[in-house]
Amino acid sequence: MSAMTPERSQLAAEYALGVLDGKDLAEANRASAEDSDFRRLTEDWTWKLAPLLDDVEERPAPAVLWSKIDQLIGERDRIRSLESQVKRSRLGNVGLFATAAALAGVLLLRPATVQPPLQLPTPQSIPASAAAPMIAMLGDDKGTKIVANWDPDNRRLVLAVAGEMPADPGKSHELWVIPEGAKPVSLGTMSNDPKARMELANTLAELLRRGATIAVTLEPPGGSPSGDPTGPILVSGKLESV
Amino acid sequence: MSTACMDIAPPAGPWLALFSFPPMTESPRPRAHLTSVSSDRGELAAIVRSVAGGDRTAMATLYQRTSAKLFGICVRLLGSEAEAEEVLQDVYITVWGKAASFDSAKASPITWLSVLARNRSIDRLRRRRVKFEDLDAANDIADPDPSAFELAAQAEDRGRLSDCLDELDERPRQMIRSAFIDGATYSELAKIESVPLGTMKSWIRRGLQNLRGCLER
Repeated sequence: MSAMTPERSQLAAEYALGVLDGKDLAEANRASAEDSDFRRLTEDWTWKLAPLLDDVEERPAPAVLWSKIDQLIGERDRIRSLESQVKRSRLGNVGLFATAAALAGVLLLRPATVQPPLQLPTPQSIPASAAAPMIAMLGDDKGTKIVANWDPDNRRLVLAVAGEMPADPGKSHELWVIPEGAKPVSLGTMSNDPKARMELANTLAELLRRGATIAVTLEPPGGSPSGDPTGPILVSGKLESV
Repeated sequence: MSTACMDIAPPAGPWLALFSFPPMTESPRPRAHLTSVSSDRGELAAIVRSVAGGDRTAMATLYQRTSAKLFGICVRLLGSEAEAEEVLQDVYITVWGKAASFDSAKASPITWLSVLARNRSIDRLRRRRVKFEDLDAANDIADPDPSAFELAAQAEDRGRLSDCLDELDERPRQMIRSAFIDGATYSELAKIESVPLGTMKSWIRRGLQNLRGCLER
């Protein structure tokens, strides 16, 4: 803590209090990611201020909420055990993951504007791949929602919904790839459908490399009119080798 | 309900998830409506330990005992019951996953849960406007440093905080409270109070300085 300048200490207090925005917030985020002293000071302030929360009025939570949470806990435990099985296998076997996704996911999404093949590939239907398959776990602050499974050899992207995606009938879910250090490129909009995968054109397939981010945003029906994302990010995750 | 959080404008960054816990210190001045849960802290801590062991029934009990408190915090910050429900789900799912790291010897369960609910709500407020440029930052929520336990050593003394807040001038006191429990930023508070941004910043900064001085006495 000795290296902490008065300005830095002040920033930590402001960060904990929650008053920062814009550049100052960005700076505090950075400091918090890089500097454990800063982080500690922030946490210290947070605990100091925590008793203020005692004054907030209680409010009964809706009765149905518990059963939702209980169900999500069950799903989460199931997905976790599947994830750990996949990690343990280290086979890079797309089929295994498709199976895991099908077991965990219940529901698959189909890209609507991209040609939509209709069948979820069975493990047998996917040939062993020489180029390393990749996986992106698309999540939000509630955990993994979609498992994206990329098979570069066949330029095949399989999406499995593993959690509840927010539904908004007036909007479309649009899928994006964001190559490292580059702008997002649309992969098409998605519609609810229990079975699907997409095969990507070469130009798009080249963007799906390790470290690229896959994200889903909420867009006007039919997708972003500008070609750039306009809505909030619902879920995102980085492509990693299996 | 906060009017301040209805139009959070700035580009958002992540809020640190704080999973470390303050030590156990008896509160000389517990707030009236918290007594129902804080009076039996030991019992609640035992429930959390059962949750850590994977006991779903204990989890249901924990929810029953604490959800009204946490839902109140989320609704106050988010200004929306629907969003508060989502955050509350998130909080309890996190609790299910993290209960094992909960140290009942050091922590008050209700404070841990309250801070978790508060931070997740702030996180949500900020994520409402996350842009693609911030994706990396938004994805990169740091794990808290366990050694923060020691630093939080005097942290939970609500009596002291309350006394020290009482020593502040009325405005800084109100602003600090509003920032923490309504999620209002400098610019929003300045707008609400119709004062220049610089004035608001100096009120709060001085307030925080005095608060720290008082808490460290």
